[in-house]
Amino acid sequence: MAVLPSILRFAGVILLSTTLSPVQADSADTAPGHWLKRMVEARHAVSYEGDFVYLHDGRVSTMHIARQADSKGDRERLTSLDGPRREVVRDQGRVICVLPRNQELIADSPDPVGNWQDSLLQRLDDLVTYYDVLLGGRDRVAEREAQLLRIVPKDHLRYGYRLWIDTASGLLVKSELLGEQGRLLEQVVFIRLQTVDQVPVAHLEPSNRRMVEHPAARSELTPHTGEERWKADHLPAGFRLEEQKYQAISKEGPSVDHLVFSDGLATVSVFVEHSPSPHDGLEGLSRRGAINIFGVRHGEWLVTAMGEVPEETVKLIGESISGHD
Amino acid sequence: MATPTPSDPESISALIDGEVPMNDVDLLLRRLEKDSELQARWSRYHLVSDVLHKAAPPWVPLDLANRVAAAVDEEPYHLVPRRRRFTPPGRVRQVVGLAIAASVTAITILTVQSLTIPAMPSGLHLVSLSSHHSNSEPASRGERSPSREAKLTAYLVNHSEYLVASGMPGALPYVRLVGHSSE
Repeated sequence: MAVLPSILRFAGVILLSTTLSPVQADSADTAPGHWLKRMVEARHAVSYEGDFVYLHDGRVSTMHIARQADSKGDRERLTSLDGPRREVVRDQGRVICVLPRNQELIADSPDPVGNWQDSLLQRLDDLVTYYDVLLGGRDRVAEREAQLLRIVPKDHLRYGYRLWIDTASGLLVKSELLGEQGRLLEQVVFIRLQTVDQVPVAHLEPSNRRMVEHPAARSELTPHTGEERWKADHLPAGFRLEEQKYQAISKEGPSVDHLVFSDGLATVSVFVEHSPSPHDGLEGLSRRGAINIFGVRHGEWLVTAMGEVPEETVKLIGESISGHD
Repeated sequence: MATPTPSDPESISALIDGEVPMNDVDLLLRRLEKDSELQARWSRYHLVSDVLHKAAPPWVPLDLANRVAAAVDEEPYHLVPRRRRFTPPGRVRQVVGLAIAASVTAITILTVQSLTIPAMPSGLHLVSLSSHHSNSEPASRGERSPSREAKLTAYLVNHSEYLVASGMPGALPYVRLVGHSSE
């Protein structure tokens, strides 16, 4: 069984303890910023296919990813290898999701992120105000040498991260999202990763062509220029409004305001929609994986805040939203 | 606590927790050898336990293989549960430990096989979209209608686009849409 030695080797090396040391930012290799920059840049420069395990809430999923990064833009397909069929295909501005419970969604966004592109790099200097960024040791993940980076929040309003970055390609090969007292909330670990010049086109296309040809499933996310009708009155320290859009979230549904807040690392989205019907199911706290969601009603408006931040943070931001005078 | 029956999925959890009466252990082990669903559950429980409680990497095969090896070579009864509610006599305990170790050996092999990653799929075939329980935890009040669930998914897609573009975190934000599996 050829895979067994491989798995055993992988698991063996991953069990090795890693010594973390405070950053001594003398040279490029020892500067955490250098590795974060490499990680972000690799997304636009490295094409690959691989398999990874996603762990959350005591559940384990195995997935396959194919990603092509070139001058035509980034394209990728993410496919579950176990459980109900789930698939996300991203082709530049278009996102196609096939999810359980007959959920199908095609989202088009000609300019999905505006000036947001690689905002992590833009706010690297801000990070140290709210996080300790520490360089760890070298490890091996998916039979590749990886550099460990540890990002520790300085307060309880954000999560921490442990990131393993492939020293050869800059790709993220393992990541952990950590809650209070370092509790592991979510983990992604590659078990096989192959960088390539060209991912076969078939590996990047939806496995169901009907999704592309079926206009009824389409959900248009066309941003409109609109006045800034909402604002946040009391944001947690470090968070600021990065972007605001007014857009149709579904073909038949109403347009919603989408506000994006960030502390440079953590991102919280707030959606505000006109929803006269009370008790429509999104109010209060809930979550999906490591994403906490908080819904609160302001009269006929429903505010939904979501992000990879603690419940308290998403609640604080959701409750701080009010209309512009 | 009511005694789980061998057909009860909770029986595996009970076995791991040392809550299965001695008389039922043998029956449960035989069932475990034949029932792939119970084997998968056994693997998942160990994985969950290891990863969440000890922050170890999610590698059941090696973990179980190591446990089995250690159990066979040294103290087989260590395989049985951290929380024991009964303490069988040493001789019986050793026999039970060996039996479990043997079962786990078989399960480990099966688990490794199930985790064998196929070659690059050249054409993944979409099966009919199955329907299971909700992808998300329930809201604190009110029931989510399908339309609300679809809207939430649309929100998550849009939120994920920002995560993708920002470069953080994890660079694989859509994993949360795809990987939020139902068991």
